[in-house]
Amino acid sequence: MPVRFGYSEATHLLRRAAARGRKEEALELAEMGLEAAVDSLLRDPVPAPAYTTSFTRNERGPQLQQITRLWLSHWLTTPTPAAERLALFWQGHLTSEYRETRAAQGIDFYNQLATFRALGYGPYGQLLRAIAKDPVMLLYLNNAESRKEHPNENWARELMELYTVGPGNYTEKDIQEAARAFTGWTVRLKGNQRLREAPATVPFEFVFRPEWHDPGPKTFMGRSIRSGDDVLDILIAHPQTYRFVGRKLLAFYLTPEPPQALVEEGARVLREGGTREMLRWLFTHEAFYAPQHRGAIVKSPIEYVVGLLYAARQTDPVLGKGDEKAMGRTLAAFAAMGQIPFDPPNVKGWDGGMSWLAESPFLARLNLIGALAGREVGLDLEVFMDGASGPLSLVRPEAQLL
Amino acid sequence: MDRREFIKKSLLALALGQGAPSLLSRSALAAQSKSRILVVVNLFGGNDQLNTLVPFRNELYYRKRPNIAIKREEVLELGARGEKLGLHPQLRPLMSVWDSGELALLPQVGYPNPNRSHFISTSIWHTADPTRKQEHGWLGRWGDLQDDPFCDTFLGGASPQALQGDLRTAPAISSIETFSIRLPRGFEEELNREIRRTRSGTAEEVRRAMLSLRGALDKIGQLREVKNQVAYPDNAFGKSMADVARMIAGGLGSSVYYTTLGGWDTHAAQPPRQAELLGYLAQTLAAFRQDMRAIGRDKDVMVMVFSEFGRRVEENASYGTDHGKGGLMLVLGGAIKGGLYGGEPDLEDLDDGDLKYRTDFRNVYASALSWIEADARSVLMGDFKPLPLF
Repeated sequence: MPVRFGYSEATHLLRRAAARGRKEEALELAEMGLEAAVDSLLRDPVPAPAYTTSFTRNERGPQLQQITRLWLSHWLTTPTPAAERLALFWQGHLTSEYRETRAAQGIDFYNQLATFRALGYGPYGQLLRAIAKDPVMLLYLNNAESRKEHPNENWARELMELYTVGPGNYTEKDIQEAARAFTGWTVRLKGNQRLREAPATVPFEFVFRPEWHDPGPKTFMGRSIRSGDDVLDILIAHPQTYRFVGRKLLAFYLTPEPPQALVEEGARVLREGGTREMLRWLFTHEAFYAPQHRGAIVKSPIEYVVGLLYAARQTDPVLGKGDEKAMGRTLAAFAAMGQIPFDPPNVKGWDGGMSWLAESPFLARLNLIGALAGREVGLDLEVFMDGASGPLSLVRPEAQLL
Repeated sequence: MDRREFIKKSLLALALGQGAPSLLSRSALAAQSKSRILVVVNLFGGNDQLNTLVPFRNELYYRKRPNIAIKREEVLELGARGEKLGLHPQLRPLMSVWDSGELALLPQVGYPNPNRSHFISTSIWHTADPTRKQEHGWLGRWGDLQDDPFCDTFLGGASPQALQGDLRTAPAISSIETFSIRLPRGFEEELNREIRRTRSGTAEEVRRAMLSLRGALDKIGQLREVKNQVAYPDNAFGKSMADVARMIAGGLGSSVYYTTLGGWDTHAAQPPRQAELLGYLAQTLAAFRQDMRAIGRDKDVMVMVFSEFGRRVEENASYGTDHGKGGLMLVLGGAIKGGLYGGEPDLEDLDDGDLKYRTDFRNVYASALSWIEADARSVLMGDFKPLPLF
């Protein structure tokens, strides 16, 4: 059955794909028709502006404010906002906590975000290979220090439990063998600069240290292997990887508990065609527009703020008056709402769903409405929420839904 | 002075002295706080037992941890009751609690077929179900049977699985100070109107979240005038426990308070990290005990500290330790029978490089449940003999 695609469906599509939009954009998409609208949303992403900083390596707090401001203002202004919502998904899936990854700088996290953006639509295996060598990940899950004498198992464990096949599909022995295979995958500062002397603008880069690597034979998932690349090959070929990641994508784009039949079909599309193909399949699927799947997702704080500021035609992601402390206040608000950009609470990422609306985080969100005071007249909530009828609608339950 | 009398008097003093509206004293008095209170502290990330409760007379400990072991001369000796074990130097604030016999140390607590995943093991501890069939938390199951929406309270962003039941989830309050609504004129009235209009699907779930937020705002607002009797360490955990103390002093009425202290996943550079965290823990717990004594509630409060697992016996190449199995629990309070519940760990008889578990955590939970007069059998769905902790 062909999907009926009118203005109302266009607002839903735009809200889900990009988490930002206004009336004229929804009208334009509706005018294009479904296929063209989806193609237009899934265009190749426009790169974000470059990041430089004059803060020192010790001043990581202000760097987090800078990269957050740069990212969110890009999300508020780019012609390809859907790529930014997908980058948020990857940030919550292939996680690294800013707070915990102390050697890494703002530039390293900003580079990782650029990887999510550049490879986010492609084959999952390609993105995973890049992240396995990403300095932030190597530092975060301690593979950067892993040597043959005493392999560090942190990366090997989370790679299987959270990034590929999921629990129940590997053994403790597989983790230990994979950890041996990844020994020697480490980082150094670009140009081999010294940590104490380098400015914060110098990023880390991947380096393989053969003297740290355990070259002996290993058995991983019943196969004989040697290197970390062999581990990745096996996990990337594993059908369970696509069910596991595909389910998470459906929970992010369709409904928190996606039906099994859609998970199977989505996993197949993800495996054969990559993430863009899976999203194209989903966005043109009648299930995507079914009443029970509309308004089924709770906006995360980042999505809420981006959506609201865009509705208010603001391009700078600061809350309240735009003085020098504005970005500090904005990050404090994100912390109170339970989602600091670049800094998930743990390696599993953000729980999402109704946990965003526990008492304290929900209160923090509602209190943000005050930041818009005086600008209610220009507010365009048509895409932000279903059934909006003026600024007072922001206290309705529907304002929290995507 | 008994407890109710104390609350009455202090609320009266509060109402007179600080000009609080009479409504405040009336509604706070109406709060039916139960006499006994359980405070649960979740150390998320997997605290290393061996460097917390140190087997400092065991050569093997030093051989397996050449770089990260706690030096003999730094260990706080526990004396005869502590077998041959000692505490990490940062736990010094708890030594007087140990000496007065009000600190119970429970080494190698775990469960059958241990899992080394943070999330799976956390979920097992939170649901009290190693077979992983239960979705609801152990305290959530208890909370389902209570009438009071504030029978338990989580101090933090969103309540963990332990506090999630089928019918309700504990209110999540990150701090008393910040918990107030500040909306432009007209919005709050509109919010109160919208809350009354039922919906379906996710929108209805959001409406219910609004309802419980509304209730919590009214209730927590009453606590703002309550002050701590002692100073707490200036960090997130210290603030959180200071608020627990204020909630108890102000008569919020929860039988269970639950909070977390994260950062224990010490795969690398463990010694400075763990020391810092143990310092936060010990200083805060000591301050909390003092505060409870000052308001006459110390004998009513049991504090129970746990982590999802311990860590590997051997150190790794990063001056850290990887995920292990049995871990250390702490229980303390004015009515607690202190001491060591279990002996020195056997470092030769390991389970794939980990300490074996000796005590099932559900036996400890059974004690905690009987402390708050809950039916341990129905909550834990089985018979677990409580440890004689009080």
